[in-house]
Amino acid sequence: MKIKSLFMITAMSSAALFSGCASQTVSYGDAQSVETLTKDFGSTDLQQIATKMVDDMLAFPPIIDMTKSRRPVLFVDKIKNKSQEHIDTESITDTIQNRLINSGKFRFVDMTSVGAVADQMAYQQRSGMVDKRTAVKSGSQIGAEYMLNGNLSSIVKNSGGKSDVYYKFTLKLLNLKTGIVEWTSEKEIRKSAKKSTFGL
Amino acid sequence: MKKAVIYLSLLSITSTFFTGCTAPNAMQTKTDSVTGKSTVRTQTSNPVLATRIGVSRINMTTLGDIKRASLALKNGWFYAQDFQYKVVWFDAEGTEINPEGAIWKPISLQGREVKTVQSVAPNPSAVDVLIYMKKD
Repeated sequence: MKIKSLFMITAMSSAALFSGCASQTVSYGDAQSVETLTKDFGSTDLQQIATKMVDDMLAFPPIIDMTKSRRPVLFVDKIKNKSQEHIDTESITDTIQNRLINSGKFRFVDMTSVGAVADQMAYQQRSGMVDKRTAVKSGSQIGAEYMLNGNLSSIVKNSGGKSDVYYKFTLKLLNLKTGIVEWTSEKEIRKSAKKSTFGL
Repeated sequence: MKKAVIYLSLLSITSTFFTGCTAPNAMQTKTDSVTGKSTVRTQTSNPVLATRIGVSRINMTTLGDIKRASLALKNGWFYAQDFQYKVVWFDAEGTEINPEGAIWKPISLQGREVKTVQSVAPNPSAVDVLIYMKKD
């Protein structure tokens, strides 16, 4: 009984000692580096898709002509996520929008903030709290001429310890007046993963 | 004494080999503001990595007022290899456009394969590129 208690005390004190030594190491990494932690959709996929879409769009001859003397107004529709994963497609379109605006070739209207803009306009015009001379007048916003929309789909295959995922991102630029698709581009990504034997 | 020298030599060869895999190679274009012609020079050269991957050609074209760089990446070895590359754009004054914005892209090349990749300048002020290449 005495030996059992001694063992218990030793085990508990050892556990306390080792857990006391356990520490977490946190470090900053390069946000632009290639990430291959799992085969799921990751930051490298998002960045590659955005770069390819923007490069293709800026290099397409009719788009070059279109943006030669003016900056067309676009809006981004939702990207349909047809893949088997939960992917924040708005994050992809945000990056695309950011790069297109910074290219100096396009302007955007933000449909995600329409509600907040309407609330602010109503507050300025109807609350009586804002000086009428400084209140923003409604009815002067510029309408978008083009819409960006697209799809993200995936095909996943597993066999034994191997798995393969194929992503296809498609983006289209639609002329709202004519309904014509003025430009489209695709980015394909294939990722493979293999389970190692004995967890090594 | 002789043994120590051998050990040290082996250690330095091994460290050179491993740094050869990690340290990137870099090539940069320089565009003449008068003639508009681009010249390519090596920024950093890692001799071990240089035997594995290289840029065999850089073409600069103009799309309207935006530049596009076409880079022919070549696998110097006889078996397939995975690499990463990054293209950074600079304006005429040598200032980096969109610092911290250039991403590393993975690329797979078969033995002795030459693959062309392209990068479009982020905006019309970008004129020169710096290409980094590294092994996974």
